[in-house]
Amino acid sequence: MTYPTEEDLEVYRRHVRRVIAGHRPTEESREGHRAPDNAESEKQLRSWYRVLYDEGILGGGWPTERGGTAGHSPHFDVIATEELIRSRVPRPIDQVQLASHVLLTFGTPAQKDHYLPRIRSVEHVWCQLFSEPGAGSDLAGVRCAALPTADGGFALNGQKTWSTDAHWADMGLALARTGPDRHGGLTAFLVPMRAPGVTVRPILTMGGAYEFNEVFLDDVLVDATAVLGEVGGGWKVAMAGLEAERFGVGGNVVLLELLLDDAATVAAAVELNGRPGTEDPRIRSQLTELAAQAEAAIAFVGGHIARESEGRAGTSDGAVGKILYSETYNRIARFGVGLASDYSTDHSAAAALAAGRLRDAWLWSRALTISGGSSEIMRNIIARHRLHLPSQGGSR
Amino acid sequence: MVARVTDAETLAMVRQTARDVFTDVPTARQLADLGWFGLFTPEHLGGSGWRPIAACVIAEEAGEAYSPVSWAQSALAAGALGLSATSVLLDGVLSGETTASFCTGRISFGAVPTPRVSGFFPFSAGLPAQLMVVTDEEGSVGAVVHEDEKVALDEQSGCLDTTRRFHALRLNDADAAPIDGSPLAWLTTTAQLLSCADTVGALRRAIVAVTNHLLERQAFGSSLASFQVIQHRLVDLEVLHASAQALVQRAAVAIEGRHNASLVDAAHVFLSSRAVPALEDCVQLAGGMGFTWEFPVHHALRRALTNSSSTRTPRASSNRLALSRGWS
Repeated sequence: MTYPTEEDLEVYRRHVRRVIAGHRPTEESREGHRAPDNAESEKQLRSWYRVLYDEGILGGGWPTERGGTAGHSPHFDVIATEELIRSRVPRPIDQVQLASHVLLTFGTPAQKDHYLPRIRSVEHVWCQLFSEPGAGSDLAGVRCAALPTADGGFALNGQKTWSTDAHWADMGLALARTGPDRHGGLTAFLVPMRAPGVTVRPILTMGGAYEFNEVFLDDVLVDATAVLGEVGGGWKVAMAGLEAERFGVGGNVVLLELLLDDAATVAAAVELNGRPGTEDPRIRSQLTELAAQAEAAIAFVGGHIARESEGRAGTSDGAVGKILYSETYNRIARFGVGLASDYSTDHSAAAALAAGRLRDAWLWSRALTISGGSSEIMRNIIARHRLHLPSQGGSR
Repeated sequence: MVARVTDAETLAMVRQTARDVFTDVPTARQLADLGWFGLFTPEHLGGSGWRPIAACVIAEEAGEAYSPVSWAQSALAAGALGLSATSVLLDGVLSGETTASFCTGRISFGAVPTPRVSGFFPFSAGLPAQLMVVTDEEGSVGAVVHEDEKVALDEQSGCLDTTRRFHALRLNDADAAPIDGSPLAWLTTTAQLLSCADTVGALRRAIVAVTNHLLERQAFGSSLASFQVIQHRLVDLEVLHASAQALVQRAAVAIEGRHNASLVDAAHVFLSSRAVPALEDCVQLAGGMGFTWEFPVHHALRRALTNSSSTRTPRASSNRLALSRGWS
């Protein structure tokens, strides 16, 4: 682990800001509307991510021989996320980060040679083909079958769901069943999304966006080189990826500050007895309680990053951070939307913009408490691993 | 003497020392020997500098032990004496020979040139203090008052808090040595944060007590702690404690660097709105046992509620936080 100095961090922050100022896409990013909805926006988005890789803002932590930056520290990734969020530009795609992580960890040299450069050039956007209609939080219940073929490959058959970005992704990381053992019978596959037999059906979110999809795999043929890790080693791959995703709350907590600012903008714009809402004691105390909750989440997640970098992270800190972040995000957004709705007035342009952002965030917030391990699963993990509570009928 | 806090290991050592010390009721001399009365007094005056981070760790442990000792008030009073013209009295406080207490309340000053001070100041102390440092909620103005002045010192009876003794100081035109300047405001802010840290410790004790109780209690053939509905509530308590502790530590780091006092207001708002309901939940989770005097959780509940207004009211902190964010 490299420990950057304060000056290193500041230099890096300035670099990120410069890159954003020089290359930012024309449209501000919207919560819950991350995937491109036309060819032009997809082109812009791919070109934006290419810049981020080229400038060491994405993939900086990769091994240097794979394009990473010498002396890169995870602290830089946190700074990059903070700056991208503050600037309201598209953030890294979690599924691509996850695919990179597991390719670097489990990939063969040939797989790394083939796929990693294509991630950096953004020729390949990746999605996850994990969840199924009968296997979401209980991921080990995956039923999608991978049957061996005569030529040493596999035929994939099954239905995947909640696959974020599958409708424009080039590659999918699939979890499929190669044996009956609940965990040991799972294998991870690298699946081209345009292979014959792959059908993608976008699902409209409650926020009115196409973000995730159902994916049908009908006799999708892959050869043996499509196996990531070992046959029967898929659970390990999936868990490594999900752990990376959970730790990824990191710099996202900055978003809580932006949501609070928006809520305060709306509060100042509403009128109560001829005075701005921020002068109303009840509204002001709700705002300060939310601010305090956000500060607590930021303090915990910031402390977690520091502990992680010093090798003394607490058990299930990532799960605690995810609950704090996602539930605070939901609460602030809900408060802001409620305020805009309760006290509907002729908002200024700034307040209308803030109210719109809060609405997007509120409608998106449940994705944060459900995906990547729901809040309920996070609580199970904390109960078992951090508090060492017994399973029902069992003992500690 | 408390070492300069530079790393997690040193803090862990401070925590362990505090844990050991608070297994009993330490004497003023013991606390003085540990250097705890000098945590807010400059080194050239015989203290150990400006140490809110270490002080918060000690306060957490005091809270967890339900300690009756008001070491923090003495340390804060020593810090204030270091700012006043009466710093000659400081050595006695640092050595534990003179008892001193720091308290906030309604304060007013009489005619100049001889400063006279009046006001009402509730405070906690194991023993009546020989020296009192009194200030208003904001720490904008303060004074040092001697025991032999026109001071009425009452022990408060029927207090909500069962773990500490409380006194109230009534001043009516007492002779006083005034203290002013922003350093006093930093001490008042630190007092506010220390009461938050104390609540974090008391919360920890209650969570541990209720968790152990639920692990031991059997119902429907299983440990109560094995039921998912119970587990998720215990997790929520753990998440609250972890985030509250992180916020208090972050605020302590900020004020040790003498910047961003608004994090202390955030910590106060957070704990005053969340700790008491969480502690009530501990009572609820422990069932009938939780409702008894014998079960230790109600002491934490009483202590936490008392802490929440010990320096500033939650409403005052909320207003300060709003002001710092430009929401007023």
